[in-house]
Amino acid sequence: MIEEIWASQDSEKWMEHIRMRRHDGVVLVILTPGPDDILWGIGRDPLSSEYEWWGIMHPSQVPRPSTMGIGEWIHMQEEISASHTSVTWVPPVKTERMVRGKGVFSYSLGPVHADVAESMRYDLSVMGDEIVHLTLRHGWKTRHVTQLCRGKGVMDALELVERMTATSSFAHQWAFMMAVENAQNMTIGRGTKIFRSVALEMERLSSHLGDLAMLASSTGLPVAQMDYLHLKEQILRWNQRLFGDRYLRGALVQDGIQKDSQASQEIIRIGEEAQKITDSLLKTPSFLDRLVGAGKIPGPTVEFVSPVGPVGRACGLKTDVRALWDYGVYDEISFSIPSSASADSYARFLVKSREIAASINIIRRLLAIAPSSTHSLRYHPTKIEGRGVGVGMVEASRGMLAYAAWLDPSGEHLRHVAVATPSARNWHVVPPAMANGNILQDFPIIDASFQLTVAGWDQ
Amino acid sequence: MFYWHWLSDLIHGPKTTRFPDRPDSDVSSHGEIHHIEKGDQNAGPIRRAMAIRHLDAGSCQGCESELQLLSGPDYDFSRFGFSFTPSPRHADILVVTGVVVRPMAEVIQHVFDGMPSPKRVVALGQCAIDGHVFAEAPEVIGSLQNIVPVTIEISGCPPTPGDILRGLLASVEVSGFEQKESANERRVLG
Repeated sequence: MIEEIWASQDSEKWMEHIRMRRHDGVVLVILTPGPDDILWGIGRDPLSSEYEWWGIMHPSQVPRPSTMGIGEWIHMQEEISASHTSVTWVPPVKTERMVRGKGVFSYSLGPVHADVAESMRYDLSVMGDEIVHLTLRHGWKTRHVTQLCRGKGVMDALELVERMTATSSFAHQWAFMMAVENAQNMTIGRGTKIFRSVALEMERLSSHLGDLAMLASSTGLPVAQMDYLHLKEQILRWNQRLFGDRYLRGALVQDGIQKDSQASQEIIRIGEEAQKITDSLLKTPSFLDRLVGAGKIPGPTVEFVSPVGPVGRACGLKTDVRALWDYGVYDEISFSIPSSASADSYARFLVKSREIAASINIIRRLLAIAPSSTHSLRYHPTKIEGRGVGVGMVEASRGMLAYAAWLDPSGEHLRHVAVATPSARNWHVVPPAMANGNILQDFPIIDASFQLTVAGWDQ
Repeated sequence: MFYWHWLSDLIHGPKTTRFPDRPDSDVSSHGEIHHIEKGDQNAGPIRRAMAIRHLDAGSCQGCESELQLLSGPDYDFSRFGFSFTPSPRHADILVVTGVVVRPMAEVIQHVFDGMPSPKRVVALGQCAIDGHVFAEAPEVIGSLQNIVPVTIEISGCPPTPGDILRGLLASVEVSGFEQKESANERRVLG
């Protein structure tokens, strides 16, 4: 662990250093005001096995990361601005781009939407049919999950973090636990690693199948939507049988699967079925016409925000935590990381559908050797030497998910928790992608092609 | 082309579970259904078509994921006459998911007022019932009952689509709330 701490007067030097490290290819992970009045930036070099910690003590004035070209941390910058008045950003206010003029109409959608959707408001400005600007207003459903975790025991906090976002519940459990294990310098067994990798891929399957169902629905193809939904339901039922819960709640604690001789064969069949639907869609011009070129993320936005997960991989950024940093058993198996450079809705569809095949492939190899659940995972805290802080990072279904956990000296309770969800980062590419020559009718399709969660943003 | 797929689906028969008419081992039950308020006995029952307005009050998106599956082929709630509606004006049932947080309280009240009588309110999932693990969080109001009258509570985290379907069917049997003309209705209707 590399630590670099400057005095408060060196805030510009601090930010400049982070900017330079980003330029060198370091992936920026978390920005958080940790305990003891230290503002922490955490990053990791793709070639390194350690995290880089950039801390600044008692910051009085800190340059805004977004004004220094660092878009990955916009969400956290905004959150810290709202909750930590001790940190003063320079410049203090973020200037918002406004669109005004004759003929510009504003459509406000939300916070309550049609059909089943999460609460958020889209303020669309349109000129005729063309979307010229989009402002996202979130923060309607903030649950303060990380704040609730403070002072709680590790296992109690696990129950909270697994409820951050349901479709990546296991990813949250694992990333959080990895942070705790990292703080405790604990090593986990190979069997546990295999079990966790299988669970994570099952979660990716159900999440991606649900996303593709929404995309098919937005293009007016209910047959494909229903077929995808049916497969998603099949995966959720397998989750119930193998892990005891449809959304893998409490699965991490079980530390093993319920063996089922049919599972592997059936899950492969589900993958084949999904491939058939995708192939049919790829031969459906009414589907392709709506997707190709729609919601293309502009190049400068990709560079500024560095989106993660399928959204990032659909813009040619090959950031996949599974491949960059080994945390499961992914180094022992070869798997494909689909990517595309076209950055449009079609690219996001392709990446997600190919990831389904990749996940099936991983499950096929690992399910047979995954250990059975014989005893539940127990957390044995050891006395902390040093600062008792750890970072955990996994590739959730929507992308890089990272937790940082500060433990108290006994190692039982949490002093502080910070999280960086893929949705909180990726939502910032949606407005520029939407206002990029698209018309109002493209809005639901582009929105469905991202399928980010508001729960992961509002936390 | 998708028409071939559509035809093969016709030949292979429905994927729909036999639940809740007949027991189905695949539809595991997690939640319980509690009747909370009987509503106004004078209010007429609505049996033919029930339009559902969904509202997210602060959920983890798990209840939404399960609700979306209700329109899927496995549960197909339209066979019982249910459908989602984009407008509260057309809604008979308000389904609220997630823990009720302060910014959404006013929105919930507004949507409830906007629905015509008789109407029903379903608190979906443990969070909407009592706040669940988030009950102590700042800005959390706790129970949906603090905001609007609740007809049916469906517990579970999240309740399975089977539970949700049973809960929705139970809510139909209960007489809805008869609400006098609200300030909102007066404003909208003139």
